[in-house]
Amino acid sequence: MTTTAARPSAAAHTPQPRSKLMDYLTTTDHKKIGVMYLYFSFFAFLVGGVLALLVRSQLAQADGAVFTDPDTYNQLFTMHATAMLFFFIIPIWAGFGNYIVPLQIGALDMAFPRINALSFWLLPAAFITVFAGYLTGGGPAEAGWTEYPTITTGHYAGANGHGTDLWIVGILLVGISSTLGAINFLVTVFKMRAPGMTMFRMPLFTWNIVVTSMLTALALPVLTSALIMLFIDRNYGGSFYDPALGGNAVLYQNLFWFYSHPAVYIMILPAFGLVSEVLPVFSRKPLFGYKAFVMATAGIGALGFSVWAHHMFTTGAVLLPFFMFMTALIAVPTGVKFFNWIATLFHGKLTFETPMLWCLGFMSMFLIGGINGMFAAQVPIDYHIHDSYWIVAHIHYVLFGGSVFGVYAAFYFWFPKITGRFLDEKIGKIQFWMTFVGFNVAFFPMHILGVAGMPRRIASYTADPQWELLNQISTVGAFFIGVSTLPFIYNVILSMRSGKPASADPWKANSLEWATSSPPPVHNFDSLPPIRSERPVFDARIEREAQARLAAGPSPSGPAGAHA
Amino acid sequence: MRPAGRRLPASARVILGLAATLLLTGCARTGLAEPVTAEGKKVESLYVVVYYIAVLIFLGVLGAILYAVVRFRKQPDDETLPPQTHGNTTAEVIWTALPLIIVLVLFAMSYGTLRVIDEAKPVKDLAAVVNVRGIQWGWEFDYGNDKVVSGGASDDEPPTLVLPVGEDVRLVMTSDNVIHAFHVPNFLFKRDIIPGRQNQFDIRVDIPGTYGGQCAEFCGTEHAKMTFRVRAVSRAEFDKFVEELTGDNCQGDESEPSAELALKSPNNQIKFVDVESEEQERCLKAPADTPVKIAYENGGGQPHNVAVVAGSPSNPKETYLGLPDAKVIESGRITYDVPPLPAGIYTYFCQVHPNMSGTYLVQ
Repeated sequence: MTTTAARPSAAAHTPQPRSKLMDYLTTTDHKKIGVMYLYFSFFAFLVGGVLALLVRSQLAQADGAVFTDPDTYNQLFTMHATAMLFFFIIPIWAGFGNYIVPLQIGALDMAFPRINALSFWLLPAAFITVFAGYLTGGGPAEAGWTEYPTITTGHYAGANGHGTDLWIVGILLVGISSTLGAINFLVTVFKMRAPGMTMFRMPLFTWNIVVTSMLTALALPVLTSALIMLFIDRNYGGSFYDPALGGNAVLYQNLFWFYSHPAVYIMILPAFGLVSEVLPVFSRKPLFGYKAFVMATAGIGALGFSVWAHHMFTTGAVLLPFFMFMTALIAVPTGVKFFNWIATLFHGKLTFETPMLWCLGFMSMFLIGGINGMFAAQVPIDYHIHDSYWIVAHIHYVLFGGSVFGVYAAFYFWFPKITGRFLDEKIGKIQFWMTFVGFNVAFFPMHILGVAGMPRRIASYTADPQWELLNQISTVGAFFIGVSTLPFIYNVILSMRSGKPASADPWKANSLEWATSSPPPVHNFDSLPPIRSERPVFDARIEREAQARLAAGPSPSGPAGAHA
Repeated sequence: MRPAGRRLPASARVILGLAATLLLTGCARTGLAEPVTAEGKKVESLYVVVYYIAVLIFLGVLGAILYAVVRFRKQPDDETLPPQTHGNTTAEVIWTALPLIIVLVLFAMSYGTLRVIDEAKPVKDLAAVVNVRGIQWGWEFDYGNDKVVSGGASDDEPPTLVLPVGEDVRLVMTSDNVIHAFHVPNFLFKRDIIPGRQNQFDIRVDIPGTYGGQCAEFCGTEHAKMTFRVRAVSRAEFDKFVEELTGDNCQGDESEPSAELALKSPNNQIKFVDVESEEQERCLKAPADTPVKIAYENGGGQPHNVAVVAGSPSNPKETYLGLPDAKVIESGRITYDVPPLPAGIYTYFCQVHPNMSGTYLVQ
């Protein structure tokens, strides 16, 4: 009683009913923040997609007649990659992580809810900053998403407008957002796990978020320094990168890739984690080699710090044998993951709901992305295919065939948890096959263009009929991918209104997010099942079924009855 | 007969079809540029080996996925759980070792190839050393002794690098502006051209012919147009080419030397043209030991000036007219004064766009 009286302010502070908009604008709930991340990053995906279609339109003809000013084209491919990498694929995994990780470890929220909200709100600010380049006289950034000096130092023809400055500032904001998010994830996972949830009982998705958060926390400061130095070079007469002033042009590349190579794992590892969750559910078996998976994930994270210079084989400025060896070594933990995934499928009882379909698509497409990367890892072959369309094919097989397929799998898998309704299976399957076909039509021909010698980032190309044909096939595929997005958007809108209602555990899944209602209450859990393995929800279900059998009475031959 | 429940699903058929197409059309060299150098042949051999390893891995792994998808489908009425296997240490060791072995074999092969193609030959064995300079946006091929061929995005024809066949040559790469990359697809080779750094490589072209090349590192607006050609000819023809090379665009030019010269740049273009014919102007002739005036008209849109040097734009030996005296103008007219010069071959160019250049012949 006295305690209550001592805090009159608390009593006076009855919560006002707020509009839904105000609710989202002011929320610190990890689930709502997660949903906002998903909306925002999917919006960026659409923006990046439209830019990609403009890029492909230009390349449908050798003389590149759509945008006669090459600078316009250069801005398009720069902003396409910027939107896709910094505003779609990295944040969307942060979004799923936000929603799912606290649930998977049985926590009430993220460790720092307000910082979590800040992490999110920095992203729209960064997006507006970067795209505000279109409002400046010189247009937005135009030197590729890598922004290599010396062309970006402001002393040479090209990239002299304020668009590049805005790009740098925007990406620095993304960096702050990612760093805060990474620390938040790490503290949440290390300090807020439910009783019984040991590190080696954590779901693989959470494990992968842990590893990517470590990569972010350790590598991002290097990119931040690189970009600040570039900003100083451009605006305050610095001389970090321009050799004419005593700088070193290759320095930037070392710093940039020291972050941006681990960043590739930041984009792909959560998808690995997701696949490792989905395959067991739809095979009705535990993940084969759980600990090997954790080790392989940590191994990829650690090795990821020693391979950055494979982006610089042709500079003549790196220790080639070392980086070639380390790069190839990444194939070992990746191979272990593939074998374990396949072993998870073996002797299972497989069903092919949409999340499973996307994961199988992920496995077969990422396989190609790994194999074409193996060519680029061999320095003598890379001398030929570096900066060619082969590399464009490689990154799209890794980041579209890999990450984006994973993102769609995540949408179909977790949509029932987030909304309480299923996405439509039939539309989902149509979308999968459209995307799968469009993707291969768009990106497979790029391998042939690459070995034939077509460089990337060119607004027009040699008028070779074969090159033109391959580019046209690719353009058709790109538009097919564009169209394949429409059934997904339709599916989301339709299913949010009238989708099939989902129970708490609609997929008969394994991890803790399925132990609470769909959608979960504000406080996440009314009660937690005991956590005795990496599959607490599976254990609880088996026990429930055994109890049910027991309650039904001793069956004539059932062992459960005999031993009761 | 296959039980009805285990028929190959549509998904599996499409993927299998794709894989079969890949293998059947899979002549390993599909699309690969035809190598014409000794080093390129080595890269091609490595590429073919890696290709077949890649196809094997692809079919093996995809086959295992498809086998599982077909063989281990849930039967419609079967609600029991499959055996709950959690892993197998022996299996883990085997499939850690397997990729490791592939990686080691590949590394050994690639390292062997790398040592051969990156080997620097003794200078005495080289038939020629050519300095390749990347400019925004064009090329200078400098054979030494002021024998320079240059050209760029604004020219009707790309500049040509002439090399002898059957002998090692060294290409030394420099840039004093931004990063470029020298890439000839038929060499199966590229090397970055980095300001503040001197990159070089030795190469032996074995098959005579003309091959296309272009800048492979994004370098700004006209990056896509930064093309060149390589013409590989016999040693005798190469020697003759270099000997006759004067860096002189005035050969075949019938005009008379004049102390009152005129040049023009059309609106928003990066080239010099003749004031009357509006055709690209690559040659100015001036009388010896006489002060010369160049009346220059800039059509607007791009800043330009006119400089006169001995040597090439990116490697001037002596500057006779240049910044700050040769004022850069955004548009309009200006007259530049060139001091009296002894007879000889000089170069004029725009200091904002060094690939706008021509021969300044003093007679």
